[in-house]
Amino acid sequence: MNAMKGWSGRALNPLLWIALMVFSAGCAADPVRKVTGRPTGPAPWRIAVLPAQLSPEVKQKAAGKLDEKMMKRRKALNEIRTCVALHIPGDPYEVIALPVVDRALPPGTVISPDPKTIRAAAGALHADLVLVPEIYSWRRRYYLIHVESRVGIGARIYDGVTGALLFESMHEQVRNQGILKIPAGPFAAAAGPIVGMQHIYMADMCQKVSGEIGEDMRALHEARP
Amino acid sequence: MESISRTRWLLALLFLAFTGVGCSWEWLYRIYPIPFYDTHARVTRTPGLSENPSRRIAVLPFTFTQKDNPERRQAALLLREALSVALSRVRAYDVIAAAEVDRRLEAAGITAQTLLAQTPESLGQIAGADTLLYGDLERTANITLYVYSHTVYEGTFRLVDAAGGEPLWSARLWEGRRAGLFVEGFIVDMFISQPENRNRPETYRTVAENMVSKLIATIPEPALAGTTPVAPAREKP
Repeated sequence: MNAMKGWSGRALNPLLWIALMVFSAGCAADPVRKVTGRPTGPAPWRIAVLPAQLSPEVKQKAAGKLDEKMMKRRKALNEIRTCVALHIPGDPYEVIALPVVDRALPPGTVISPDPKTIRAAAGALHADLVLVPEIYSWRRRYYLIHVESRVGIGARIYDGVTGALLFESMHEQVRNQGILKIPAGPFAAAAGPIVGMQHIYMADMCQKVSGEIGEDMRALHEARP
Repeated sequence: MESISRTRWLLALLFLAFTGVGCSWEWLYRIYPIPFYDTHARVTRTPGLSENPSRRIAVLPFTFTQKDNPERRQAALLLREALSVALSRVRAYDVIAAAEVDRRLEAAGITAQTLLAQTPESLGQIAGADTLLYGDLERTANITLYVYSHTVYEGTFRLVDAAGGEPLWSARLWEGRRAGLFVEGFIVDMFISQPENRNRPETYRTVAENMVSKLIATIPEPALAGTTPVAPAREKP
């Protein structure tokens, strides 16, 4: 009986580990691309990329400790905003330089999505369109033999004249690194997840996700609401 | 017991060798991506760059010291585009479009081979710029061996005052992405990363964008006149 217990205990541990990893190995959220209107003026449009915001989902999750989280995420918010600004296609859009936007709306400013606020921001920046980047996910989770890195970015574009929401896009990428990917040896199994924690993977995912948002934006002036 | 002590000594000597010699961690990183280490630009700059708010920059075609081939030309082009975009969007410099710079240089009979023989004054006049950005790529490489792959840029970039030829900023940087069994240690990753690295434009673009984000962080913001954002100068059709 004791031998049975010992066997089941030994077998259960690896099974528990694998189950834990399967649950933790996240999948990326489905992408969102919605066109709900057309810009008032003709292309090319001067577009202002406002300071990045936390998505409502992230705000809800961080409820109660938002201040500390905001401090930690400020760097991520800036990085996401720069990524998005760099991937806006140059053809129908003229991006207003981020430092110019910062003079009117310093980083950290929380923009309410009501038309009046949007119109005021657009007016101050002489912008035809206003883009609000949103952070959906930006995290790394380390489970000793598995690591999950996740970057999710959203972008909402508002008309500068009416303040109406015209376009919405959200993409997410997940990178799983761990023994489910068949390590080449015990060193790889132990060191692989640590290597996977590096910021370069977050930066690469940030670029890829922003590139996808940029592609969606390219289709905006051809799309019908 | 003796072998353990010998290993410790060997590790200690290796550590001393790498820390004692200037940029050796970067050299080690070039061989194997040390976790949580990242390369950074070696920069020299003068305050003159940010003092004058009316900097109009022409990003000149990048030259490369390696043998000329279409892949290198494409890699240089991608990096030049990424740097031009970042200068005008992340920093508020007035950047002349690369296509316009190329058109003016071509009209003046200047090619990539004769570019460095020109004085900054003449290049500034031809391009219509008061500041010139030179890029010299010492190395671009995209290699896929199916168990190991890498895509690398290494170069020196200089901002020069067109009127006097004075250097305003220069940075030297190595940037690369390595993948494969030797680096990642996972068989599944190897099957994913190797074909990805074969997509040359995409891989070069990713590395170029990372390189640009490090370079742009070292370029100071121009002194922006006034506090009101500049109104659009163009007329809409």
